[in-house]
Amino acid sequence: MVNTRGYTTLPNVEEPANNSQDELNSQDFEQAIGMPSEPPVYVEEMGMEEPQAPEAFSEKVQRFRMCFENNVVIPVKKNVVDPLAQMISLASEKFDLFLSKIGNVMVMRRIFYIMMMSIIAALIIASDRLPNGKARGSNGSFSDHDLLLQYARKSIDLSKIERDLEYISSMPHMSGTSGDAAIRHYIKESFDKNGIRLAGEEEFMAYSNYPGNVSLRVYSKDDTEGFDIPLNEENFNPMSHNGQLNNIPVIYANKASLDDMASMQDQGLLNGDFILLVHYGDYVFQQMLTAQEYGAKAIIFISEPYQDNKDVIQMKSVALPQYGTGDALTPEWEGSIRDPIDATEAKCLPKIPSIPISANQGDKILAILSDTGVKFSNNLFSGSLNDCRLDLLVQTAIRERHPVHDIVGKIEGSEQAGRAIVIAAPRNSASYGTMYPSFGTVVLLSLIQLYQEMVYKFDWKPLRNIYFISFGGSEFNEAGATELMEKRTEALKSEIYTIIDVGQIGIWDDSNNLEIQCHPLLVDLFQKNMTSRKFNVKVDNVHQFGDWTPYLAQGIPVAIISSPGVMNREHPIYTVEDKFDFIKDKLRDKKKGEVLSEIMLYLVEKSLELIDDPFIPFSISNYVDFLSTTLKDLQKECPDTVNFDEVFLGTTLWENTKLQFEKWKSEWTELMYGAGTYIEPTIIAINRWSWNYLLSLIGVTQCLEEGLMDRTFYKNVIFGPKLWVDKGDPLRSWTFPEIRDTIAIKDWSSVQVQANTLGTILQNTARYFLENKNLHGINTNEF
Amino acid sequence: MPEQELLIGQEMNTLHAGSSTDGINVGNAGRTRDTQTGVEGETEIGSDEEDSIEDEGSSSGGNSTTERLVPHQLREQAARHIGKIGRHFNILDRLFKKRTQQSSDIQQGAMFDGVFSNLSAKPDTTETEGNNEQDIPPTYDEAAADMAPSYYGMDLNNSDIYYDEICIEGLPVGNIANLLWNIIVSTSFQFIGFLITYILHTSHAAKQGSRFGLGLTFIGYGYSMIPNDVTSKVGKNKSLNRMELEDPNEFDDVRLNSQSTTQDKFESHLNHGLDEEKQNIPWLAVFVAFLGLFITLKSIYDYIQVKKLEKKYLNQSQNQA
Repeated sequence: MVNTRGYTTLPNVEEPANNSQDELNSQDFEQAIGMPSEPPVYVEEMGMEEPQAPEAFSEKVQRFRMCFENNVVIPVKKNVVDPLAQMISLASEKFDLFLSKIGNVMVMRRIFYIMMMSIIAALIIASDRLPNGKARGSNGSFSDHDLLLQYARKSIDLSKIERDLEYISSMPHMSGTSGDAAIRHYIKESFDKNGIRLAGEEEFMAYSNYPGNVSLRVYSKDDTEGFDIPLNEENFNPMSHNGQLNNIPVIYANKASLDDMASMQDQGLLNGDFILLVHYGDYVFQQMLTAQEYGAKAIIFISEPYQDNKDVIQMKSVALPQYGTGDALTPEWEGSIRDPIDATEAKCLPKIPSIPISANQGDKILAILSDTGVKFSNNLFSGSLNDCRLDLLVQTAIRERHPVHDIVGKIEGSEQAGRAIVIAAPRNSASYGTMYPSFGTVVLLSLIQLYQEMVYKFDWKPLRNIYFISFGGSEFNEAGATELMEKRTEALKSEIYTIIDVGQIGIWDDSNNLEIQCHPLLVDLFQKNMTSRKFNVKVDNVHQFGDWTPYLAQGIPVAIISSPGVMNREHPIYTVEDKFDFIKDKLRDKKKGEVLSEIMLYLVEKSLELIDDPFIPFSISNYVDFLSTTLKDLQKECPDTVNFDEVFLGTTLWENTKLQFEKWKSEWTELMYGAGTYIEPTIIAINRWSWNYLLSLIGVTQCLEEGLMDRTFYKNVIFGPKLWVDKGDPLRSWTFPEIRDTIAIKDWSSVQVQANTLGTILQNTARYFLENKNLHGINTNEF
Repeated sequence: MPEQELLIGQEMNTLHAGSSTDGINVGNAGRTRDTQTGVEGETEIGSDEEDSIEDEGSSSGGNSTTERLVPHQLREQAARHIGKIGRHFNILDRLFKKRTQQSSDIQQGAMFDGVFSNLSAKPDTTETEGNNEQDIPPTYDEAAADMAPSYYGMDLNNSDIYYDEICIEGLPVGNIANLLWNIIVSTSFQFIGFLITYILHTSHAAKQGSRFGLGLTFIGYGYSMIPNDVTSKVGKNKSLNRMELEDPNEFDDVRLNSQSTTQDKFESHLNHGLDEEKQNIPWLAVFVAFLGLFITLKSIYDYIQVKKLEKKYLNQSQNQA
């Protein structure tokens, strides 16, 4: 019974399947039945409606179809497709037979496929066309600087330098003028065409002035009519004071040095109202400050003649950067934060009017002066107050709020993108400015092109960021550079660890020399590997004002690359004779071209080391030696009552810091290059980043938040200008400015206080360095 | 020999007759009895048993028929009513059908054996005495002395790997997850990823995924071998807008549009330095890129083909079931 019940289920399953099959069969049969009836109906309908046209068209289509099929499709099938398919199947069978002799067909087929693909991959790798990471550096290895520099050497484009220089110096481009707008547009377009990222065009409002009305009338002794000296818009000093003086005596003061002024005062020549007639000295701001201090009502600068041309006029700025740089009405802050002060309160603005005149114009006045008074080293006499009187009108076009622009480009770093260097050049000139500053701008643009060629050729990225900045407003007391610093003080202090200024580079003099003013931390970088150069390098302390001054004031290490002629502002800089026609022969000279190429390559090499060396190439050893030596010399200038123990304790701590750093660096070098792996472990990289972080902070941590006494713009207690700088002794004038100013007035108690402050700063920074080197818990003593 | 053939023929006829009988008599108990009696009468085997059955049947049948005329009629009516109710609900048939379908779905691969899977279950009805003797279990001594044959378990091992799987060219088809996973591994680890996944693949999906990854890797190689186009990115040969202004010293209205401008036409003939000409794409890069593309497309095509074959086999097995 059980078996019987089990059997009953099977037929139920089978019957529906059979039924469905029958239905399918019946459907097919029905379709077959229906087929013959359809064609006759359609044919009849078409025949009845339109007998002629449809038949013809359908016949044509059928004919074409038949012809195509007979002539193309069938022959192709017979002659091409079928034989090909047969050959493929035959080859496949033979191949399988071959594989079956070796081993299992499935396994051998798999192995064969892998071997074939491996051979292809090996050929691809052997072709050496795949990009290797040697030049760019990746995954714990660093980029090959030799490879990059070889490519850069081949890529130097002298033609671009000439074209850029011709255009940039083809028109005057004073800050805030149409000429500056055109040059700025050109620079931005050059950035864009080279593919560099424009990080921003910063605009600041700054105190500016432009050529206006000037007149000068000379009255000789007992002459009531006098004569005019014709002046034009070249008789203009940027940042000069406006004023009108009538019937004021004029005195010649040579270069208004302190000694000369003291001699004249001793002879009673500086009593009452007077106008000083001076030759341009090395420091115009010093002459201006001296004239103010001695009570002059105005100052007239006599320009140096240029070769045989005695009609050239040097248009130099007369701002007073000793008190600070930047916008005169917003000292130490950017304009949008606080209200500007009144112009009369601005310390860095001169208080007396000034004009420059040419040598010929100066000779007219000098001829009237008598051979009395003080005799100067150039065999000229100061004259007396009764010899000559002047009517002077200086009415420049003052714009207290006028735009100043900086152009900033950026190459992004790959490892420590929070650290950066700046390569900068000034842009603006009251005249054509071919030798300075236009050539500096051209060097900047060529550097950008060289870097971008390395970036695109090797897919290279530097370890740290590079900024390229074209500063505006340099003739208005470095307004562009300073306002940028004041606007972004904290960001720039934390990110920027070096500023390189290339604005003073030139090939115009016969000596192949480079003068590099830099921080002691950078001395080693610029001095090493100099045997194979075509030029000489002399490294010195910073002893000049420029766009780097606001960064020096905040403690950021700076480096100014200069040729001696441009550094000393030799002729025809600042005159309208500084034109492209004057220097194009030198630019096209083959030897000068080679020197220029070498200088460009030197710049690329040094900046490459700064941004792409695993360690920031700062020399703590040089820095510590500099501190010790200079402080000992400083001690000798003070009496025994001044105690320097705190200071030397600081230098001792820095000596320990130097030893710690050098020990870790040598161990790191041994780990990286001694073992031959050239790959850096991640945990060691983190520690190296910590050291780089500390190295980049050495300068900015050795600053006074409140700044120097009476000159609060300058916050760097170690590097900066004295109030009265002496060009003959740059080391003494530009180091420890506050202490040296106080020594000059022999205020020993203040010197003691300042020395203790300096000692405290040195000790605190050394301890900070030592305590923070284990930022990530890696102790160097464990290696 | 002729006698054996005759016997086999009789057995086959018996099987066919049995199946047809079962199909015809679905749902009617009374008819089933009558037909069964007829079938038994027709067969030649067991004539003695037939006689005995007839004797018993006749005596019992006569008694029941004569004694219960009225109950017989009632039985028929009740059977018809019950049949109607059963057809209306039809619960058991539905369950059995579903179960049968489920089993067929699960073991689709097993259906390929066809009719031969029933050979092992065929009973041997010719020699009754022999069967009786074989049914006697062996003694303990005989069982202890019997060793397992060397081929024991081989079938299970063979069937374990691809049990219930449809194999095409010796490999199961695999599913989309296998394909995607192998694509990910083969692509992520470049050529080494391809080697690992291709050597160890156990399905068509894994195989084609591995090839797909290899194709992408080759396309990447070809793209990498294209030289960096330095010329079009660095402005060495590009011309800049060199405006010359009428009054460059204007300082109150410094918009460049407010003045008429001309273009500076200066040309320099100094050395350009290394002039990176735009390098052509090397033939090896093109070849490798197209080879990668071909491998990628062919892997997808092959996988689709294998999937179609699998579908065909599944449909075929379902139709047979």
